[in-house]
Amino acid sequence: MSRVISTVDFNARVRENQDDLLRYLHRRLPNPADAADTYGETLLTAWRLRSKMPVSKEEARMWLFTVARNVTLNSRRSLARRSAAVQRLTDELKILSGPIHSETSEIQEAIASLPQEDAELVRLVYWEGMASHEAARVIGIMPSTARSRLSRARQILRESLTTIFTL
Amino acid sequence: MIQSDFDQRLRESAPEVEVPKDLSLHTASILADTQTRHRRRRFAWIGGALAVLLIGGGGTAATAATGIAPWAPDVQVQAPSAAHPQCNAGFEVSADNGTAPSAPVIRAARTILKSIDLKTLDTAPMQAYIVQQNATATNGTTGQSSPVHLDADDLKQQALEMTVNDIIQTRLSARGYDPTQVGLEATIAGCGK
Repeated sequence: MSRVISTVDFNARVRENQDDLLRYLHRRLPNPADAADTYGETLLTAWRLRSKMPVSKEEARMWLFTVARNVTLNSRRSLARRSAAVQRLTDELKILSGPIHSETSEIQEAIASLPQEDAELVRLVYWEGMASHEAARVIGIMPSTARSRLSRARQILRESLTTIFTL
Repeated sequence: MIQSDFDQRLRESAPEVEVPKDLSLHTASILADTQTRHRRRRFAWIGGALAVLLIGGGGTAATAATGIAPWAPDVQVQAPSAAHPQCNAGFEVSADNGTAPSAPVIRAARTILKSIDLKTLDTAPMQAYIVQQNATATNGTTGQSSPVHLDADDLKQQALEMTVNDIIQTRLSARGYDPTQVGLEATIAGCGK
């Protein structure tokens, strides 16, 4: 039988990655309520699926991001399910959420115009600081595929953002 | 533009997101909500040295202190204290979320519960976890810091219950069952409460 992570270890892995997970979610779901809801849903889903959480810290981190990504993609959030704990986080995120800088919005739009998986690959590498093989794990593609897609995405971005990148 | 500048511009395009300084408290609170959902407690255990002794398996019937209702948890342990030497505690699997009491997942949970050796169960990691959680507890209504202090006996007892629950939940998950269909109830008899 495969080893199942204990509650203590599960909570430790979550705490180690909580900041990055929340940033990841908030960057994709700018609405603070959605980000907080999805963060809570991610922890709940991870807990339900914890028998699949890898024991290795690094692999557990990638697994948590995969859960977060899937929850974001498939989210059917309901306010009725928002616990008091998630509501408190929502309230705090509302205070901390700042305006989007206009000078970066064009780059963000260019990234968003890429094919969906390529855009996510770029965000994982450049926004979340992952290595390409780690981003590949989160998306569920081969590392070699990720490298070639990343190279192609960079080229497209260079071409579409010529004005910005020649300044 | 050289590649490093290009990469830097892409990195700087990340939306600025400030993480709350007390995110750990929020995370702990959300996890506690999630993980205690199936840890119902009908009664708090009585204090006292927890010289745990398995005294009965499933189907063993005992009578509660009141002498009124039959008491038949799936497993029983002695939890004697000076004031209540006959204190017994029991664990019982229950069906949650509309699950039939005779469902395979309930039978599997009961089998797992009965297989746990309560005499040798290591509850130290769970005790450490409870202490950490209690130290950073917040008021559920106000969100204000509200640390909880347990005496040593209560800590051991709570850790035992949570460890047993954890084992059941993780083993059910590993066997492909949905653990949210199962609850664990702790009951007491002869403990003066």
